[in-house]
Amino acid sequence: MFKIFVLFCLLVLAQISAMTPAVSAAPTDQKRLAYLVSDLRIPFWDIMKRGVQAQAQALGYRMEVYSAENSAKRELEFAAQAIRAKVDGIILSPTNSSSAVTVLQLARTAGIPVVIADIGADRGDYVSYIASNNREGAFQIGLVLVRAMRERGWQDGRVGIIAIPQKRANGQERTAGFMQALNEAGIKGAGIRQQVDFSHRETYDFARELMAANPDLRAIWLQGSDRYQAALDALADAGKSGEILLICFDAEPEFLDLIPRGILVGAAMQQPFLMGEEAVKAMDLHLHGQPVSKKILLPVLAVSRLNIQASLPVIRRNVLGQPEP
Amino acid sequence: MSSSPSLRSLYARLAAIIIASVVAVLGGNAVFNYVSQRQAMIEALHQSSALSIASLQQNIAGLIEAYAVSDYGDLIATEIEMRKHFAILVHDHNMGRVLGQDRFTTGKIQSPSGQIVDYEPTNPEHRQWLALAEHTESAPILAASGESLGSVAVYNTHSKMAEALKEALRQHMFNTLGIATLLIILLLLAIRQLVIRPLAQLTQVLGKTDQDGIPTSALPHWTYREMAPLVETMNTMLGLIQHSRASLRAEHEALQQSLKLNRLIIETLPDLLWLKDVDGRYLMCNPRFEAFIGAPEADIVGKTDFDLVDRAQAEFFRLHDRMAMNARQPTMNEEWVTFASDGRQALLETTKVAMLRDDGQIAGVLGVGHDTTERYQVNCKLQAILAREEALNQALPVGVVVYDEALESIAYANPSAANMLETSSRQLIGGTLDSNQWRIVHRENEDGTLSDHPRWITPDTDKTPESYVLCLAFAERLKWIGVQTRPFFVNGALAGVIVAMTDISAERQTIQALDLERKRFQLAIEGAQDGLWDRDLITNKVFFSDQWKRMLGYDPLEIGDSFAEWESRVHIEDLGRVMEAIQAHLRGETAVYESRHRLRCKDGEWKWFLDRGKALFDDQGMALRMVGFHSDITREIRYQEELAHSAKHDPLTLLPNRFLFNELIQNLMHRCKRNNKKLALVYIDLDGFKQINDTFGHEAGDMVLITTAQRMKSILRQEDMVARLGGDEFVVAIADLDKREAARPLLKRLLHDISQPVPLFDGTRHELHVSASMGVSLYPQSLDIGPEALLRQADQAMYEAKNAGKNQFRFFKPDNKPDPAFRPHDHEHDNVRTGVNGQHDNTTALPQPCDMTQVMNEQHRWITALKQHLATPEECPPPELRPDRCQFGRWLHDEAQAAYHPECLASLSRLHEQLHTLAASLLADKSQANAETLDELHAQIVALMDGLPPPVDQFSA
Repeated sequence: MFKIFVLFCLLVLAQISAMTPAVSAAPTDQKRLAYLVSDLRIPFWDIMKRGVQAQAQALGYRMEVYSAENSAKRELEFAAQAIRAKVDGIILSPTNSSSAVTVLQLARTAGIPVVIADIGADRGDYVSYIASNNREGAFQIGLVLVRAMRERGWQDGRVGIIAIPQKRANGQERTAGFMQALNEAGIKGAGIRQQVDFSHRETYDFARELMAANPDLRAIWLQGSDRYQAALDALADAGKSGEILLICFDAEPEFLDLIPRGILVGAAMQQPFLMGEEAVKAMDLHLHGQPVSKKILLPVLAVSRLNIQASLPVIRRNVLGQPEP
Repeated sequence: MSSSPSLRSLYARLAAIIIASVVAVLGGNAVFNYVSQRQAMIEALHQSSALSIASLQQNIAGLIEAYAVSDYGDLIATEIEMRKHFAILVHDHNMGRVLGQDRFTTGKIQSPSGQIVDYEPTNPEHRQWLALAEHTESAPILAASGESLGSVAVYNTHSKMAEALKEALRQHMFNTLGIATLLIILLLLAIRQLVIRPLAQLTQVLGKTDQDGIPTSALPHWTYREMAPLVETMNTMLGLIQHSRASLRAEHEALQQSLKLNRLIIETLPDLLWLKDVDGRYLMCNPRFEAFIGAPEADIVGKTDFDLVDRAQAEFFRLHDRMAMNARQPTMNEEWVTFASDGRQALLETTKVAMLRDDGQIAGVLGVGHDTTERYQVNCKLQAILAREEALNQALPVGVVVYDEALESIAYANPSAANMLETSSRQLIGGTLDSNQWRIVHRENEDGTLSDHPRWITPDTDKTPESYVLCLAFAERLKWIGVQTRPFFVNGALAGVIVAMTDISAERQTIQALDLERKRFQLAIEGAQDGLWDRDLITNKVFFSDQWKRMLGYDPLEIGDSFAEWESRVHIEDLGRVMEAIQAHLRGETAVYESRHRLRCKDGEWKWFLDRGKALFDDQGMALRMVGFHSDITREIRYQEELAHSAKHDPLTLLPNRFLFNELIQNLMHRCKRNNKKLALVYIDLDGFKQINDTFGHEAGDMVLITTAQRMKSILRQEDMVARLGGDEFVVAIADLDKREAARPLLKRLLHDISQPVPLFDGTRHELHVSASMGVSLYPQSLDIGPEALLRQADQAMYEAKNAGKNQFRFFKPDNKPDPAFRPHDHEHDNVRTGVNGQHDNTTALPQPCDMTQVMNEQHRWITALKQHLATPEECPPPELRPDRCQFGRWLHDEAQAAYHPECLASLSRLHEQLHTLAASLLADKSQANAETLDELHAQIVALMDGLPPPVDQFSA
């Protein structure tokens, strides 16, 4: 119940902030930054927004947050609005990489620097692009799974993948990193299913299909974390709980409980809070005339039962956006 | 192909037309293509713009509504890239509203460098570029609801099209030029190959003409139907022309040939031929006539006879010319003329014919003069021959009858024929050869056969010459007529038979007498045992009688008649001697030729013949022939040879006896001395032979002797010799030794082989044992030595061997004593004899006289001494009478010893003869001698003759 309440509160706050830019009263000489984010209703973006805000505050910027709620029109309107407002810089987490191009074009026309935080742009001029190292993260979580299968003597078993759409660059990188780890260990794949509507039913069915098609299936890797429960339900319904391992990319707060319990073997966790912080840092450096890397890749944490306790402070802050007071 | 330079070239004209045509057509085509392409490009530009606008209208509307500026920007980029537009701009009302502007313009434009860049409305450079567009098309963009979302505009410039057109034009020009060149070349080649070349071939063929300008070959076939009729027509015309010309030429040649032939006939005609006109002028003549006139035809033509021969003859010719012309038919006359060329006179048979023109007018006269001189002369000769033949027949001793086949009777008979047939020619002519006056007894044909039905002329075969003898019986006597018939033919048909007769009665009677004589002689020869030969010394042919041939084992036909038949069969050793005997006789040195020689018989054996003959000489002493007989004397010769052999060989052992040994040893000594070799003479005396004789009899002793002789012969070499001297004494001569020691192996072998036991084949299995004592002397020696002395030396050495214990050999040592005439060691011999206590030791082999002369001399001395002793019987006999001191005495003793052997008949026979002689001489002298002593001696001799020799002791006493 507490979780639902927290989520509800977050949604309400996001709605309010989207309708009226969160403008804080600040001195006029204070530089202003705009954070154009695709949808604050999604926890990942919200955690990132917190990172952006925390770092902006730390560096003395006035931050205006615009959540487009996944609408390109609104995103453009907010972009035009920010440009008209003559902000000093824009932190952009675009609705998609194509719409980012238009935003970048408008910003360039207006001469406003842009730092992209995740998603990326098809083309256009920007100061820096902050992203997770999806390939390395997937490789590391692959090694975690390999180790777990060897511990059980299951290295002859197969591993099925339920993936995000592979037309996305991050999807391709994750698959490549994970498969590299399996190939190096000599573990065979059991096929890949690409999510389309990201529904519970879809993930459940995919898990059952993989189990039916591969009697020697020993693990399922979910490339997204939000439908982990559907996979667990499928394992339980098939009577395979404990016989087939489950491992995820990205993280949910419940994982802090599921991983130590062994229900989940592990999870590759992006650090959205850290990404937000890094985006603001990059903009700050640019505005101060410092050179900034065009692309900054942040590590993805490969968390398993073995290291979860040690990594808990980092997970809480960078992954879940819960910095210690 | 030859072409006149003044004429234009078809090929050049065609080439010019082709080039002009191709350039015009392809050039026009290129211009047309250029214009069309330009039009098409402009059209395509419009279409492209329209298509792009339509496509963008449809695809961008949704993206404008979704504010996906970047996405439709991608579409514009794709479109401008794909369709090569200069620029595409989109005016977005939605984005304008979002951005608070009238419109939001975005798009792509091509920079002057060709790059496609985002169009920025605010960029003055971009606006300047856009102003260059020469063609613009735009259209609104509507939402599904019909609301205007904006517009899209497509910009194009012509410069690009102009460039494309320029490139296309260049490409067209290049292609056109290439195609034109290729087309021109192909067309020129095709025309050259299909038109010009066949035309050139036609022209070339037409150009090859004969001397009349007519092409010699047919035109080549043209495969194209447009030209084929032309070629065929021309070929037909050419064929017709050639055919016509060939016909004309053939006719012309035939005419020429005919003229030549006529001219040849005229020129080669043996007759004279000439042609004159009505006025007597010569128009032509042949070479024969030229010879008659003595001038060439050119000089004769145009002249008259009056210009060529004397007037009288000219008038004669002219007269006959006129006669012929008037008669209008051939006239003939004969005339003697003289040929001016060689002055020969000839009788001409002249035929003259008037020559008429077509209108019947006389044109002249043709004369042909046939030379009949030869015919005339032949006729004269024939008459002479007939006269001569008649005279010949009258005088001929041979009877000649001509039988006429057509008349089947005698057409002619000469007087000789009438005489032979004892009738007259008149009676014979008209009749046949069969008559009552004579009868054919028989007819002997040429091959010696007699005809069954004898006739004069054999029917059916009367066409071939025959030769035979007829025996005709006349009333009182027989006549033999030799007949030769010879048919003769007239015009291939049998005209008759000439029968030539010769009376051969006298010869026939002589031959019969000779034949009788010959048969008698033949019978005599056939009856004789000897072989007759008759050699013709002129031809060197020899007649050998059948008996002569049979004596050599041949059939009569196996030996020919050449002298070599005899000469080749004479033994080569005899041939020289025989030929010398023949030559001596032919030289007249011997009255009769006689020879004994060997002839080789058919079976290869040699036979001895006694050949005797005599030659027949002519008046000049030249030998013409030689006749003789030969007799087979082989048996007599063989008998003599056997006698000679037995006289020189021991009949028991068949070894040479003492006489032959004396002959042969001389040869051996000479040979060794000449060859610088040594000769070893071995005197051999058998030890123990006497005991064998006494114990086992003479047959056993003979066996020992024969065996010992065989063993010695088998040991000795071919060049060596062994002889039996008598009793058990043998002598061996070993020749060709290099030194004395070389004889030792042979001597040892002799000792060994002789000492081998001799089996006695009397069923007792006894074996006889003898050994040999051998003395050896060597030749040559330092002093010249004869065979007798050499033998004595060996004998002496033999005694040494005997004394040394027998069964050994000793070489003679020359330092003992000089070689005496007689044995120098008589005392030793005595010792030996006494040493055996009076036993008959067969060591009595002593040096013997070398020949009978010596023996007879010894005998004479012995008898003389005996006579002296008999005269004084009271005295002791002189030493000469002692057998061991006197050669004859010893011989006598030895012979007596030998007389023990019945087989020694020859020796005994001689002994008997000599003892008979001795006894006779003793008896004759009996009155003068001591009768008692003589009687005793006689008794001893008689006893000796009876084979009972007195004891040696008694005899010597």
